[in-house]
Amino acid sequence: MPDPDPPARPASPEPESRADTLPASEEPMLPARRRLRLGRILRLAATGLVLACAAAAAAFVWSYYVTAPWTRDGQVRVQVASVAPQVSGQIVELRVTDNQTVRKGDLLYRIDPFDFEVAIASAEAEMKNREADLQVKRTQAQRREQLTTLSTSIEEKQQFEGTAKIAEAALDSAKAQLAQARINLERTQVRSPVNGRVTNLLLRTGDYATKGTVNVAVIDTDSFWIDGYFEETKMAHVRVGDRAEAVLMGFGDIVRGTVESITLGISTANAAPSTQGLPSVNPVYTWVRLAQRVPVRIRIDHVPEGVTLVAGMTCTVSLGEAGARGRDWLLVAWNRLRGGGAAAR
Amino acid sequence: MRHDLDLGGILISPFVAYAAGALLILVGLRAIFARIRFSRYVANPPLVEAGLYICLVALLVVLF
Repeated sequence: MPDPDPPARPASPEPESRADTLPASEEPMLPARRRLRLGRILRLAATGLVLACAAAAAAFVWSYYVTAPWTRDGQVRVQVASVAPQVSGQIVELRVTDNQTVRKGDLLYRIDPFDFEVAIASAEAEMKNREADLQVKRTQAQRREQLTTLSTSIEEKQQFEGTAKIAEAALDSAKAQLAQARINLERTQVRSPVNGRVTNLLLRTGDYATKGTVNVAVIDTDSFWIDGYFEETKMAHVRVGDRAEAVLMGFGDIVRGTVESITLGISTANAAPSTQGLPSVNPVYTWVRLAQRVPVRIRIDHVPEGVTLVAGMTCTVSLGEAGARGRDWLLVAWNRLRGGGAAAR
Repeated sequence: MRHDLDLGGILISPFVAYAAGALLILVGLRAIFARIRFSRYVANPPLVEAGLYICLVALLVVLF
């Protein structure tokens, strides 16, 4: 501090010089010296006070940054419905484009239905065949049943009855086949299972869709949530039901939410079995240890206008009100001051 | 605490902004101190200024 010093210096030696120049009379010297000592004590006290405030402020900032439940490591997450066809075949009609909004039940694409129509026709024919067969077998069995043992044997009767039952079972089987064939034809129309957006669509009319292989991803727009990865040192202050605020990178507005749940486990590298099935334990430095991060799931309650949530976006998540700790602290101090003033009055 | 500083895609912790803000305020305060001859009131002006700086940073952290 070069500026205030030069003008300050002549000010402070003044009383001393005055005291030195007046050694003869003792009466003015004593108060001057006393004033000088008082001034020095006051100046030391002021310095000490400021330093004490600084120490308290430093402690506060430290606790604020180390234990306050906030993290810069938050991410927007979403559930994706991976749609795979239940039957194989060539795609004859693609009804969606990339990033198209779809409702639950909307048609995504159609697989060539010819084979499945043939299967239905064939199953229907088979069923008619079995029905006719059953009718014949039943009539035969009934006729044998009415005859006496003079013209037929009990064994023959049993045989015909059994044949009729077999024909009945065959008809049931044919009916089941027909139901399956009809469902399969329905399944050539692949529909969206959720409300959402088709994403990263890499399909073309004419592509072959294989049964069970995922080929369309639909982002479920009803399922957005935020994962905040909190350091374990802050977990003591994270509680289910806490209010949460997230600021997306690049957006000024606050996305409000609530802590829905806390993940109960993260993977441990030390648990992986290695040679002879023994755990492979990593050596760590005793002095420097990194805090693990625990995912905390935040339900989104309110998204401000103009903010488009995109899964994977980074955000800063803080629990509790904005600056609530600091403001509470100030409020408490202010109330105490006012309360003290009122009591004194 | 919430709003990161965005410098061409590099996001910087807002604490840096608080530290810089406190520095600016301190520069202003020093001009005032020079006028009122601050060293008359304290025993060690540089030490007091350092302490004031810490208090200012804490205040900014609390308020924003």
